[in-house]
Amino acid sequence: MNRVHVEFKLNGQHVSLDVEPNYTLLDMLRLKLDTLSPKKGCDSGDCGACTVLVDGKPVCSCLMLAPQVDGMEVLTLEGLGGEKLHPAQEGYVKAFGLQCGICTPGFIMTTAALLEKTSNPTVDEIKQALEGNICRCTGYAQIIKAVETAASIKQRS
Amino acid sequence: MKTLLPQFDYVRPSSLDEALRILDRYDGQAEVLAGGTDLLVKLKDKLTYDKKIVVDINRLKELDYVRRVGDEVLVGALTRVETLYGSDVLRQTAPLLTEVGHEFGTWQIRNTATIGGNLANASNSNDYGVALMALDAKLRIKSFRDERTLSVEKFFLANHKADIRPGELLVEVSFKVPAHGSGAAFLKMEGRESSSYPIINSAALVRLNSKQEIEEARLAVGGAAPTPIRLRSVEEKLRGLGLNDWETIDPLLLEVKSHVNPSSTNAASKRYKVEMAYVYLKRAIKAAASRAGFLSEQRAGTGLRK
Repeated sequence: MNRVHVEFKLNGQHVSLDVEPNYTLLDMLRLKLDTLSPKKGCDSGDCGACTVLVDGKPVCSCLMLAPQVDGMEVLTLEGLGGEKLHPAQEGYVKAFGLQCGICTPGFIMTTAALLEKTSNPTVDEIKQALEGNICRCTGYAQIIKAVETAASIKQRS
Repeated sequence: MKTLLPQFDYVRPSSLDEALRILDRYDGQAEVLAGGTDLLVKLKDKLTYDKKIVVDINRLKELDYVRRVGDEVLVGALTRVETLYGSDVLRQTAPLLTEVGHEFGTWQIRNTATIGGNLANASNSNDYGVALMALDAKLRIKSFRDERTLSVEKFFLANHKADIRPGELLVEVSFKVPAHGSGAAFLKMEGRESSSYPIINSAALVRLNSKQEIEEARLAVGGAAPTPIRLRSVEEKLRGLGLNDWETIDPLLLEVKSHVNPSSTNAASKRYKVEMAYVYLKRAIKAAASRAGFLSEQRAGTGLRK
């Protein structure tokens, strides 16, 4: 098995490394690039805890091979906010859209992508966007509230 | 901990020609990686692996398109489900294909999964296969030396087995824009609304004549046999019947039960699936017929919309 050279933008920073092709994007992020916000939940594309944005689109990083992102832009929770929290992060804090927190990075990444697409999403749009993220604590009511809060924060800023 | 995956080499061609050359050279030892949403799950279940190399075709932009050419619609095999879901061309020509996108996986999955991958993976309930049967779609398959076209109906050989030979790549899906007076619908029964495999899916296309009689019907059902199936003998019997003559149509549809042969799974028993194949086909026909009726009345100017 030959290693593959991969260069891509991770959270705005150029990274370059050789990786075994049987690493998933998630494994490369967590084990080789110390980027720990994407979580390994089901490792089969059902739970959304590993959600990252690849060229702006939410995807399950457990269902991509590491070399696939060569030349692309990958955004994880680490790169979402700057000095200040991103509106999606602030929304989850303000509305307390989390309990144990393990699913939260995935939810926030999907939320950030949704707000890029729709500045004022309806409850149905929020539900459809987040159907690939599973939370076993909150019962989702606060998460929907968090997305609405994030949308209004983003509109004001 | 790193996920255990079998060992393989990786290559990422940048053109279709290069991809076909590689597939030709490895002659059956190569695995094609499109969206990967099925392939990666499959690889994670394997400790031994008979393929040498994964051929990542995601950079073949030439296979990512939806366009109308005359009375035909052409869809590149690498077109993502999310693109199909939002496609104006499909909404105008074959909205049942956008309906497939509405209930397909999750946003994350729709952003990566491709129509070609969904077809080539050949699950017996693959959504696009069922919907495309109602459109009488054709598939274009290329290899380095050759090219062939076959109907989607012939493509599925068994559950998870499609008619793709070593060295071949599915490159394009095409179908004729349904004639005036047609309506079509796709329906799916799942354990839950998103991110689960269909238990039964169904598709119907119905074309009505000016007397509101069924001129043509095309019916397909998935999850009810080792492959998605077309129900031609039932289609024949519907021809000439009036759109509102459900008392005649309904007993005819019971015949569906004798054409299906599902297996019991964790999700549902064989007996239940037989019943649901009938129920979901009936619903698809009703939805398709009412759309066809609505459309033909619109065209005839009978006043549904000014």
